Amino acid sequence: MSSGAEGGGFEPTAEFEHAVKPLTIGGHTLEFHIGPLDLSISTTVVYLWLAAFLVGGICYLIARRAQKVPNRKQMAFEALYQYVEDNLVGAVMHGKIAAAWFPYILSLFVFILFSNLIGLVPFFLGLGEFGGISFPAFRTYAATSNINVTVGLALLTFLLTHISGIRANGPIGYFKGWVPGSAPGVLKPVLFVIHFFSEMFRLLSLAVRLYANLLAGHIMILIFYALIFMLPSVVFLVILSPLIEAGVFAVSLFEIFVATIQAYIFAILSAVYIGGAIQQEH
Amino acid sequence: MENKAMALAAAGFCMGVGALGPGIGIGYLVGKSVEGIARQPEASGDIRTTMFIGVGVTEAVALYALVVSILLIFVAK
Repeated sequence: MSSGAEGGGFEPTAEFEHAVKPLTIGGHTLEFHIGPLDLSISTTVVYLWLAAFLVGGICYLIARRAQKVPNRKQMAFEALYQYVEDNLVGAVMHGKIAAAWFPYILSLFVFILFSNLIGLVPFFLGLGEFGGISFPAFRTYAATSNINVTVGLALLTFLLTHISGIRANGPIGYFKGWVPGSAPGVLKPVLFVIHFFSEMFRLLSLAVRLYANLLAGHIMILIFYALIFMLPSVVFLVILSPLIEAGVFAVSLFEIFVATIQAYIFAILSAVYIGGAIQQEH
Repeated sequence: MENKAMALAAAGFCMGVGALGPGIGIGYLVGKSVEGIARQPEASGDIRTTMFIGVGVTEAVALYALVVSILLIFVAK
């Protein structure tokens, strides 16, 4: 399709395969297996640790110097805290359970936000080679653009929804709440099955929504850069690469917006599901 | 070769058709929320929040089509 493509074949999704292979440090491959569980340390794992340490570290440093008259960083964090408390949790949960579930929703929101935004920062990952010259290689990778990570987060919300619903309403009462009482008796099993499948689909849609949004953004950036590899001669390169770079810049700005919105949507949907499971008012 | 060609054609078709529904949905949703803000500017914060939630959920449907499309392009042989 691309005539005179130099630079070899460039497959955008091959860029993401490196993130699930175990890392090698000094000749030792960091591969751990505990029974059937694969706990090897890969790039994704390192990025998740980075996000966790950043979130924990920043919050600890801000809270350590908490004063009555807040300084700017504390004010920013308090604004975030207040926003999540009023709009994310307070709007869907009422009373005591809002205080009980607020830490989970806040942690979810901040962790996913940090993971998404870290995906836009390039990190130095060693030396790369191109055409015989080695130069420092940077890579951007978002932990949440991996389906395994988002399924893990969605599974956490899913399990917490049903466990808290069963604890609050009792096992029979909880599953009875899935079927509206005013339905005719014949339809009740049908409605139950439909509700069951929609609950399963909530897990999938939470995971895939976050994963697909981030993956799409990163693939768009990679495809823009792949255009550079497809240009047939240096003249086109000089003229077109500023335009391509401007396109990547615009997409990256949009990605910041998408990262924030997706973290917000994940958190508020988790709050809606957990609140709905506990406070079943059918 | 023919398998790959059909997979590519199907990928294009999938994403094209899959963007119709969410496109109409998001347009309708944002239009209604603009109307709501015009009628009652004090509620604009709440309306804007609800609009973003709605856009996020609706856009996910288009992204399911995108995921199938990407699978067809890069995994089909």
